[in-house]
Amino acid sequence: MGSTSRILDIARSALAAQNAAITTTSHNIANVNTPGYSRQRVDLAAAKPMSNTFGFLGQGVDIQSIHRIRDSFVDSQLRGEYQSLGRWEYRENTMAEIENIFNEPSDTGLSQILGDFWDSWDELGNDPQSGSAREQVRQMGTHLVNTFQHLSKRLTDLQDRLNEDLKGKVDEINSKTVLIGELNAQIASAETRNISANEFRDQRDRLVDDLSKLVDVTVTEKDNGMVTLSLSGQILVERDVAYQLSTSTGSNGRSTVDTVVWARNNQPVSIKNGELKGIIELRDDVIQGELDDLDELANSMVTEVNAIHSAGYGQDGFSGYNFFSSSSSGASDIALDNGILGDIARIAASSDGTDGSGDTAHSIAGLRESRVMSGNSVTMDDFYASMMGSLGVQSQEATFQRENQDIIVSQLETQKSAVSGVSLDEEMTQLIKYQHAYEAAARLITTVDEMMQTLIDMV
Amino acid sequence: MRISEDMKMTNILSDLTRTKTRMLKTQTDISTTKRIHQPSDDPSGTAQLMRLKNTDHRYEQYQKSVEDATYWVTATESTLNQGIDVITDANNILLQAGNDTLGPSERSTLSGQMQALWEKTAQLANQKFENKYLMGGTNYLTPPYELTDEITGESYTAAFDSVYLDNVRLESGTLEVEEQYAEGADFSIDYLTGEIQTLGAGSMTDGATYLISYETPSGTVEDEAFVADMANPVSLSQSPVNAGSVTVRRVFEEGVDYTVDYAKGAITALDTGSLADGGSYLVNYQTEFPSVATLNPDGVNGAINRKIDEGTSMQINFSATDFIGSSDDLLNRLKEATIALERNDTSQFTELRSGLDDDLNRITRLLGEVGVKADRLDFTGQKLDTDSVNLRKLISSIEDTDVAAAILQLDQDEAIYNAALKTGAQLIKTTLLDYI
Repeated sequence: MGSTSRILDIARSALAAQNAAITTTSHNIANVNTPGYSRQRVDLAAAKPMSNTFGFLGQGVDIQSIHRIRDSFVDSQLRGEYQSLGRWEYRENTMAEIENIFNEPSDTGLSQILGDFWDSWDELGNDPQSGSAREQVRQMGTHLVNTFQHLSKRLTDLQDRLNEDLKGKVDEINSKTVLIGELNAQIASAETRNISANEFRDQRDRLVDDLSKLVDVTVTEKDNGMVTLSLSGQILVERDVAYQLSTSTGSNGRSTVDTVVWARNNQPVSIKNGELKGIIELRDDVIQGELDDLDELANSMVTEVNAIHSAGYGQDGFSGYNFFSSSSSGASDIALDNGILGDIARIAASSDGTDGSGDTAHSIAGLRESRVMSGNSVTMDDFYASMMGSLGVQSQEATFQRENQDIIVSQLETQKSAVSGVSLDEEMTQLIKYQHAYEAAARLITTVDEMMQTLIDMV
Repeated sequence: MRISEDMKMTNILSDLTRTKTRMLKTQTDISTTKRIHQPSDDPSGTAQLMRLKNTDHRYEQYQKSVEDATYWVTATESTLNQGIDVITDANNILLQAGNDTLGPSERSTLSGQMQALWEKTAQLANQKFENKYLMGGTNYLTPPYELTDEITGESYTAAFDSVYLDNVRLESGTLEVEEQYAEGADFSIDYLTGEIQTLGAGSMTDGATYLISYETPSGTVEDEAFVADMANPVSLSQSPVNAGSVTVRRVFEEGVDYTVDYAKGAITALDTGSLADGGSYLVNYQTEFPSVATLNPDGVNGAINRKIDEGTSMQINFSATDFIGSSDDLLNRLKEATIALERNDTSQFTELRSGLDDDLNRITRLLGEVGVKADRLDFTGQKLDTDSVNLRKLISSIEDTDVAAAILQLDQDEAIYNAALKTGAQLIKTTLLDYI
């Protein structure tokens, strides 16, 4: 036989449960726009019934837990795709910058200047004694070497900037792993005491997501709620311990190049994805490749022009002058010969020392049609055009890959949001539902109160 | 599927952004009329475009060279045509002078005309174009022919009959006959004291007046007069004398030693004078007009070339020797004709005229070659024009925006964008709250 006070207890448990549910609903509504927030639900269960002579009698409702709704499979997929997204996004932006540096196709790029340079030689060949034609050759030559140097300088600057960025990203990874370690500890300590650590978990998951954009970490979740992160087969974060990364300074002969190493033993970290991978491959492969090609072009220019020029005769009747300085190592320091800079009479137009011969100048202008590069298979102009073509292909690939990653990531994020995101409509219906239940429970108390009154009145 | 607030926002925004990005690119394509702004817009198109533009750049330069070559060839053509006129005129003069009714004075007048033709021919060979001598080869800053009216050191064997000089129409009063003497054979000199001793074995005459020129450390002495003395050395006004710088000569006196016919260019030695019959002397004089032309010793044959097409180079110049003949033929003939006319010598007219025919043939052939070059330049210029137009068409088809298509695309995108905005706005606005 149940007592009336038991009914009160049941009503009280119902009030508390609905209250908790409404609180959770309002928490959800409050966090509708919080990034990384997963909606929460109160798990309610019927309280353990009491045994009686006639069977089991219900004891009300119990709050089991408040848990976040999350699909860990989507989470892990998403992290993998974040890595690729980070890599290609970084690559796309930097490729656009490289394209801007070259500024092709345009009327002011190296291609146009090369053409003008050849033209100036042809003009000199047509009028070998003309001071203005000589001046024009020197000017175009100066313009050409300046453009080479400028391109080389800007690419090297970009390389340096990427290197700085690499160091910055390593610091960012270190601060994130430390935070993840701390959160690991907090989650474990809360959950062993059976306290929900939903907010900590949300924060930690968000950090792991951010970290995934930077570098290819592997995530394993343990039973105690902590995650273990590893990078290239070695532990990055375990329990509350974060192993720091560091950079080791080296050089590629042109500028400073840092590599990522483990701080504990200075062993290099092999990085396969994420923004860090994007930075490293841009710095060491893409930009380095462009610089190497530019050097090859500049060196060919110096060798070929000088070979013809030094066999010709200047206006002063002497032979053997170089047009470009022969001591340059590539595009970064290509320069006109000091003799030419000092005296335009040293520009060799004549092939035999006579005033009217322009054959040497014509031969130099003829280099634009000579296949002197890549094993005598392409002209200098074509070599540069191909450079731009392949730059375009690389840039386009980066854009395609980034767009592709964007679509995959946004699909996965939609899936994630479909599971974990807050829907106001849903929360409102929940609110109505719990509100009604709350009202009913309150009504129950009033009813019990009336029952008690009836009983007292009987006495 | 559950739809969360976040999903709604993200989807609407990303769809809007995508359409907007496309619209922006289309808008840039239209406003710049180009569809390739970065290599990544169309990598293979970019490489192709750059190659085509390089070719176009080259063609422009070829066109400039063709124009330049055409000017040069046209100038050559007009010079050669004038050369043909000269030869025709010379031929006519000879024809006219061959007429028996003409006397020496008429032929002398014609000689003057012939002289003018000679000078004109030399000037044609020295024709300039843009400050360069057209026929000077690669030494085109120096005139192919140097003209002069000063003749020095022409050799003359004295005779009491009149002897013709190499030229006619001498400037009157400018002729002098001189004899030069050799140090050691005719005289000796003490460089330190500046004393000159006439040697008995030599050909100098005792008591005659000689002119001596020499250099001293303080300067040059020109034509100092001294009287030869076989017995005693004569002191010079300056000493010491630089070794080897001494020249001694004797100038003979016109009217005493010889007479001159300045018009015909003839000298007659007088037996009253001191010129020895058969003796070798030197004559210096000036002519009224330039009458000697010397070819530039540095050469006039270098080729001047222009690059007029891919791998094609053309020589655009002819040398003065192509025009005049390899051994100054035309100039020599005209000069011979001038002299023959002046001296009333009709015997050479026929031979001269046949020689002039050879010159005419040579120059006509040259003119033919120049004509072929002009044709070729014209043809190449037209070909380059056509190639250029085709090339630009191709460039335009690669890099230019198809404006009609782009505008259609923009219209379409705009419609989509508007629809997306409208539906999106409605979706965001409505929530369950509106109905509770």
